[in-house]
Amino acid sequence: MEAYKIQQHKYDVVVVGAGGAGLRATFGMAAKGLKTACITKVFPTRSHTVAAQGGIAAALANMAPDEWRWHMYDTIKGSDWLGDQDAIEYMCKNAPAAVIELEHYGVPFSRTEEGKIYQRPFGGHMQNYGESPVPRACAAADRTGHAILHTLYQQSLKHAAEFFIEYFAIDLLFEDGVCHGVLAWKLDDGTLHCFRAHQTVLATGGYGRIALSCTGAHMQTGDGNAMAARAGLPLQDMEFIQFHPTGIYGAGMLITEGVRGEGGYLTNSKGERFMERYAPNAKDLASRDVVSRAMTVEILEGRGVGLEKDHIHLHLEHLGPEVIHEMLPGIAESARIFAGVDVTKEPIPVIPTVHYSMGGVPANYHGQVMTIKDGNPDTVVPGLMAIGEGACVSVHGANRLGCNSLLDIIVFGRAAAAWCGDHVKKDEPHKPLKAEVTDKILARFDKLRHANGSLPTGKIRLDMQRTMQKHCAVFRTGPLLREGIQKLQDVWDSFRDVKVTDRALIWNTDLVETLELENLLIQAMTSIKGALNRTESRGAHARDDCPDRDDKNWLKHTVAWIDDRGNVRFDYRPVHLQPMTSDVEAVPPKKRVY
Amino acid sequence: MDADRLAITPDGVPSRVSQRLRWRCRRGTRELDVMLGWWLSERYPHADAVAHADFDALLDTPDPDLWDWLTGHADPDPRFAAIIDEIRAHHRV
Ligand SMILES: Cc1cc2nc3c(=O)[nH]c(=O)nc-3n(C[C@H](O)[C@H](O)[C@H](O)COP(=O)(O)OP(=O)(O)OC[C@H]3O[C@@H](n4cnc5c(N)ncnc54)[C@H](O)[C@@H]3O)c2cc1C
Repeated sequence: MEAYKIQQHKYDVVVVGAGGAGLRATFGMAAKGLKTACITKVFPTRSHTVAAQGGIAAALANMAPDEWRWHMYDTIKGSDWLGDQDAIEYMCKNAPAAVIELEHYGVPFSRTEEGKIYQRPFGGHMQNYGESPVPRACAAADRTGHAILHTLYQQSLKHAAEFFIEYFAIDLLFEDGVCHGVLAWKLDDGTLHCFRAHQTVLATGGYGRIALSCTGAHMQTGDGNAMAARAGLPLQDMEFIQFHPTGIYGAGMLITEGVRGEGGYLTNSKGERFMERYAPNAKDLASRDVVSRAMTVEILEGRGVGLEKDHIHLHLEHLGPEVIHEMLPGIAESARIFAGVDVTKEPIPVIPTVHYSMGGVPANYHGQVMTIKDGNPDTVVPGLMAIGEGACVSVHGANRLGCNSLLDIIVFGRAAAAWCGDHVKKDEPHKPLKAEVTDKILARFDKLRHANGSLPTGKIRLDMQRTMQKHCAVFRTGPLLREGIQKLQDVWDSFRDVKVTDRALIWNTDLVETLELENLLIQAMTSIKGALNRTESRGAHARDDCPDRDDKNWLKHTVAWIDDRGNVRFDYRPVHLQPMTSDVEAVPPKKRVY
Repeated sequence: MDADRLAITPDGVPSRVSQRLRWRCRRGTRELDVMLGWWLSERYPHADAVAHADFDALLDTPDPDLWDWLTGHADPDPRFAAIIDEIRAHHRV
């Protein structure tokens, strides 16, 4: 192996990822006076958070009566009771303060005539414990995600956080069960960098790219999850992947739920507003898994639209051009560009599309990563934290509500900063690490760089995505999953025969994509095996052969370890069914109706 | 994006510049990935040095501005108008 020279960097804390979660943490830690580095593979304001337009949920009660207890109730119900109620209490209770704080830092939220933050209804957010939809989503016009990223990036710079942009984090530096930092590759000059930290924070986002059709961008490869898995840590609840009901048929682009918030509705081939049958109260604004499942049932029962009867129509013609252009900017254009329809005259063809990863690296509400050790399900992994879509706290359980993710990333980014502020000592020296810690990482990197097999990365990725799309989508059955696992194992094994065409170290996108593919394979395998393992239906995980939720056997989080051959071992963590404080009562499991 | 269709050097490997652009075409949204990726793979190989430099500079634009330009919600910086128009024409916007 070539002797790679590694540049050394020493920080109190290192954050991997500059999306909303990573930037909130970076800013918070820097503001506490910690020497903070933030490493990101793309420019911060180009992180995936920029795609979030719908808004951020908080019970501000600016447009209608609302309170955090209702928000908490909705989130627990939305999670199909797999969410941890203590963490959910923490998130919903802190939501108003977190949003108002964002406003103070400079996020230009849209306003009502009285100058309050404007709020709109969003799927699953209800008044008075599930009675009727409530406007709870705060948005900065159609730029919510960008405004948050821009504001937090500026704040981070102001507090002297140091950014390492277009650095690709390869793996975590683990010695004797403690995380000491991360090894990264600088894409524009090919150098390698060792970042030492007393806390390393994974904030690398979701893994939507395991599927062929997803609403996410190319970069959504969940690298942090795979880094944790390679370090021998478990991933949690990976079988819970959210399908957004309204991805554009054939293209994947998201048509925001805001459309249904403003009065848009779905119809089948008979022109029927079928959601009235599935969710009499919430109708088209029921939570995402419910709407996605209803759409899939309509299609499977032969009431899909189009030549192949394989999709559904989303109508907004009746709203009129003014409402569409004023309240839903960009929707008409998206529909024109990616579906070829004029939304003022015709419906948009839509289909449930992979959108959000509920699972990820298990973490507590401070952001500390947890594993199961000696029977203790909440054993903290020293030196490592995880926040954002890549973490599983778990506030979303089996299904996330719209606008609760921006909330999650801000609240827990903030919590992680607070924890580090209290527990990380400034300028504490770093002890030298054994050479084998980095040698192992470099060996993997070098091997892939020189991989000289016969299969291009793109081919293996497509095989993986096709397998997941066919075998691990909205409707799942044991036999379908079993067949899928076999196919995915073949894909996994075929990775040994991958061919990387470029041997350079500078801007070698072929090698980056190969590293990302290996990361995706880890997540695809834990997802599909988790889906076979969980013999019940809950939230986003719907098993046709086990149609009911089974609280007796499955009211627990899946905790999965994967080895380098794709073998997965399962254990479980109990769901926290009690809130954090006596401010609110627990919400005991009951049947979920909208 | 399809690496094989980018500018290829004599040793069969995409040039560093086109690789860098390929990375910078990684945006925060799927919409922009597709639209900018199309120009890079379809038009870049046939474009001249000026257009190459313009495209490079265009990629420094924040995502929401790019989206507004591409959807016609705002007029693009004149320097980028030709590229934006090509992408718009391709998507019939
Ligand atoms: C189309 C769309 C619309 C959405 N709309 C909403 C909405 O309206 N409201 C809502 O609440 N949620 C919404 N979501 C979900 C929400 O946007 C995401 O869950 C959230 O933004 C994730 O934030 P994050 O900080 O965890 O990760 P991201 O924003 O994905 O950031 C990940 C960061 O990690 C970095 N990174 C990743 N891997 C590496 C690596 N190997 N090395 C270095 N850096 C790395 C990236 O560069 C990036 O900076 C939407 C999602 C989509 C796809």
